[in-house]
Order: sequence, then structure tokens, then C-alpha cells
Amino acid sequence: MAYTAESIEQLAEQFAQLPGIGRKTAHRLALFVLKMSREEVDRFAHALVNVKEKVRYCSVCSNITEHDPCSICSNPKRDRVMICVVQEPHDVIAIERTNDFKGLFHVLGGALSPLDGVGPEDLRIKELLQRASQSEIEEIILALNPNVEGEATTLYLSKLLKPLGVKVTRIARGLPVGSDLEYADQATLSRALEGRVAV
Amino acid sequence: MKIAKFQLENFRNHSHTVIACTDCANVFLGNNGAGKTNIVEGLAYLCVTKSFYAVNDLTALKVGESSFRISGELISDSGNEFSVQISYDGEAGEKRYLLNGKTTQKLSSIIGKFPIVILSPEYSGITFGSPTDRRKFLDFIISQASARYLEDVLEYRRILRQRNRILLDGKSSNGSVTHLLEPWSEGLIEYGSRVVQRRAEFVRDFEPYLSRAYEAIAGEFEKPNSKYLSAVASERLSDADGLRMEYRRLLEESKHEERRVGATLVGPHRDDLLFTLDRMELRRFGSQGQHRTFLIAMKIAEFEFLRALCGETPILILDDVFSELDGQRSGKLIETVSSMGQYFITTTDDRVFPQEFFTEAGNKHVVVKSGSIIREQAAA
Repeated sequence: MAYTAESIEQLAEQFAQLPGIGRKTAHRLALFVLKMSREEVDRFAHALVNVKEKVRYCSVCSNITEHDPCSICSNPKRDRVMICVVQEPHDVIAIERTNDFKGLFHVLGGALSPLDGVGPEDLRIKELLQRASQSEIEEIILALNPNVEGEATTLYLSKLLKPLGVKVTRIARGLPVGSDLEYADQATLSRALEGRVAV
Repeated sequence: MKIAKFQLENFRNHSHTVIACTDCANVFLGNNGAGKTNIVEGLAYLCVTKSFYAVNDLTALKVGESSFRISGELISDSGNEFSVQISYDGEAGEKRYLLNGKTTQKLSSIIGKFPIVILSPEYSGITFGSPTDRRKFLDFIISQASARYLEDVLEYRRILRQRNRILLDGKSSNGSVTHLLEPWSEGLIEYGSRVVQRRAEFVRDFEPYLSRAYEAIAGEFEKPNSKYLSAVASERLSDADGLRMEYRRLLEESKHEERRVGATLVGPHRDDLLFTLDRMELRRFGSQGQHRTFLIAMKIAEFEFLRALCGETPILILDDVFSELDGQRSGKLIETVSSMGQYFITTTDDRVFPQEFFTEAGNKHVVVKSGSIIREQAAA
């Protein structure tokens, strides 16, 4: 496929490794980089390297951070009796955006999936159990993805957490706020019916 | 549901074929390998996003091409128009479905929107073949009638695969896997018992449709029956808790055996459907003719069942069915389906149709050769 310069091919190859980027887009991006000024490219390259050099995992919650412990774990204003368990760092960002949760987080790093070779030892479960057994913790909220892997992980964790004497909850499943009932997909609607609450 | 027109691009042996449909019979005539079945297979892609022949989409690509596209215009019984398009990119391995110009995120959400019933020699496995064929038959009908069921089946299969992986990996190691299996077993019981319950209910509700259809095709001589065979299903079908309890008990009971085999041994993925004619098991005692008649009756029953449940007339496809029927039964079948709305027939021989058939309004005759339409004729 040597229609263009080899360096362009190599760069496109790199872009194509990124999630959601196909061959054509990778080529377009590589050609775009060619058109950028030298300074812009330097800044871009620097930003890429920086991510690898400066970002690490928080030793407490395993979220990504530049300072250990992370800004949430070291914030004295956070409510230290509650831990919200999520799969990935981007889930922390999603929940933080709500501004409704003032507790702490714990990032598992995925969900159980034997097909992908992910077992309990590949997730930060031991660390979670250690944190949960600290006396000040009152509630663990499990906020994993509502798919079969998330469900199985939720069950697995609740089994381990309950004997520690802490309250274990999970986030509700249901309809998105502000949407029309008639446009909801049927599976979500049936689950929302199952999980109905008294008013 | 009716199809006004549709077209195939780089699909099987069709480079570019446009088919304008009539509201009644659309008959595709041609020799073996001409591309008749490919046309109706394209219809299946439009209605349920997949083929009833190809195991994977790659085989449906025209040789030498990298992508295929099928588009069409459908009209619901109430007159709503839908423009649909499905395309497959062989290099990226991506399938894309557009409904009225908008990309559909989940392909499975299309199933049931455009109900379709297919009668093809490909389905003879339902009465002749293995339990897998019969479970596919069940899943295909119920999925079209209930989106929740399809969702449950897909989730169940995923959990099953995850759980089987643990059992398989556990075979080579001696350590206990009980704590690993537990969270998956819960999901297995939850989704699995819903699938079992829904299937057993379906078989019960399907019964009168099957009896009526069999009578119409074969006369009153024999009484057809079907029964859902499941280790889990109890007499009390409406008792969801009882079903889950039984499931849990059987799973516990098979604990050692499943460790030894390395696979989950209890659940809807092991169930079967038993067909009888006058209380004689069809699979073992049925003649060739009885098998065929039974299959046709099942498909006609499927049509009526879906029409009643979806509130929409399904599109009917009869793919190469006459080659296996005698003249009298062929005639009876044509007579029966004539009143069933729009239908598509592929055949190598149009002599099975009565002489006046193609002069009746709404019937159309299309001759296919080497992936192209070489002649078409619609009665005024």
C-alpha cells in the first residue's frame, strides 16, 4: 500500500490502533498532521508523551491522577463514609458531572468477563475490600454497567462486601429522564416496570 | 406489511437488481443457480437484518466486491411508509442498518418491526433435524413477537458463554471454581427461566394455529401436536418463582457433572420441541410427506400467529417448496397462500400454477437468469 510516503503510512497505522478510528479516517488524520505547523505537531507529540509520563493511578481509589492520592481522595470536603464503585475512570467523570455525589470512588478497572480472560484477580477487588473494612465506611454503592458482565460483577462484589457489615446498594435501572415513554426501547421499559416504586 | 420495491447491489450473484413488487404473488422463475433465492434472501436481510442461508455475511458478498447493499420501501398495514437499507462492509466486517435515513444503533431492535415468515427446504431440520434447529425456530418466531424475549435470549447466550468459559478453564485446573461460577449462575437462572417460560407459553398459544393450518393443508385425517421439552419447565408455568427454584435445584444437582464436561448442562439451550401426529412421534414415525405437510402447516401457523400478535401482516416467502410436493398439495398450498397478502415464491417450474394464475390482477411473474431479471410481467 505504498501510495504515499512511508512515514504517512506509519502514522496512519498508529492512528488506526485507536478505538473508533478506521483505515480511511486514520489516513485523513495522518494527512492532517502533515498540514499542521511544526509547533502544533510538537505540542501534540508532547501531550501524548506527557500523558504517559505524568499520569498514574491513585494509590487509594485507582482513578487516574497526576498527584497521588488523587484530588477526590485528598479533598477534605468529600464525604468519607460512602464509596461508589465504578468500572473505569470515565465513569468517575460521568458521576462527578452530576454534582450529586459527594463521597469517594473506587475504580475496579473493568468487569468480570471470563471470555476476555478477566477474573477477580484482574480487578482491584482486594483493595476495595480493604477500604470497605475500615470503620468509617458506612455504604458501598455499586455503579457498574447494566449489562451481563456488570450484573455478574455486582453480584460477586455484594457477596464479598456484605459480610463486612457495610451497607451495599446498587444504582437503579430505568428510563432516561426527559425522554418520552413511547420512544423507550422495550427492554428498558420492561425493567423500569419491574423496578417500579410506590409513590 | 408490504414491500413496494427493493434493490440488491453486489449481493450474491446480483450486481444491481431492482424489483418492483405487486401486492399479491411475486413469482421468481429460473434455473438452478440463476439467483432466485438470492432475491428473497435479500428480503430477509431487509426485514430481520440477516439471512436464513448464510452463516456469515461475508459469504453473501458478490465475488470480487468489498461491500453489498440492499435497500427497499416497505408499507405497513396502516399505510405508514418505511425506507430501509442494510449494507455490509466486508473489509471492516461492519453491518449498518438505516431506517428512514437514520442509523440503527442496535440491529436487534429491528427484529419484529417487519415480520417475515420463510418456508424453505433449509428449514426441514425443524421436523427432521436436531434440537438446535427447533430451538432456532422457536427463538425466531418469539423474537419477532416480543422484543423483550429477544433481549433475554441474547443476554442468556452471553451469560452461558461466560459461564462455560469458567467451566472449561476449570477443567484443566484442579482448584474450585464455585465462587467464580456463582454470580453467573444467578444471571443464568434469571434470564434462562424467563426464556423457558416464554417458550412454553408460546408452544401452548401456538397449538390452535397449528391445528387449523394442518387441517387446511392435509384435511382432517391426523391431529398434530407439539410439546415443549425442558428439564426446567414445570406444570405451573405462570409460577416464575417456582421455575427459578427448580432451575437452581437442577443446576446444583448437575454441579459435578458440569465440572467434568466443562459446560453448563441445564437450561433452555438444552431444551427441545416434540412434534406428534395422532400421538405418534413425527421425527421417528413420520413419512416424508407427513414431514413436509407438517412443516408447511407450521409456517402457515407462524404467519397467522405473528399477524395476530404483531398486528401486522407478515411478508411470506416460499423458497423452492414445490419441488418436494406433489401436484395436488402444491395446488392446495397456492390456494391457501393466495389469501395471505403479499408473498414471494421461487421456483424452477411454473407449471405448478393454474393457467389463469398469472392473468389474475396483482400477480407477477419474473424470470431470473445469472443474477439479472431478464423478463417480468404483471397482470393488469
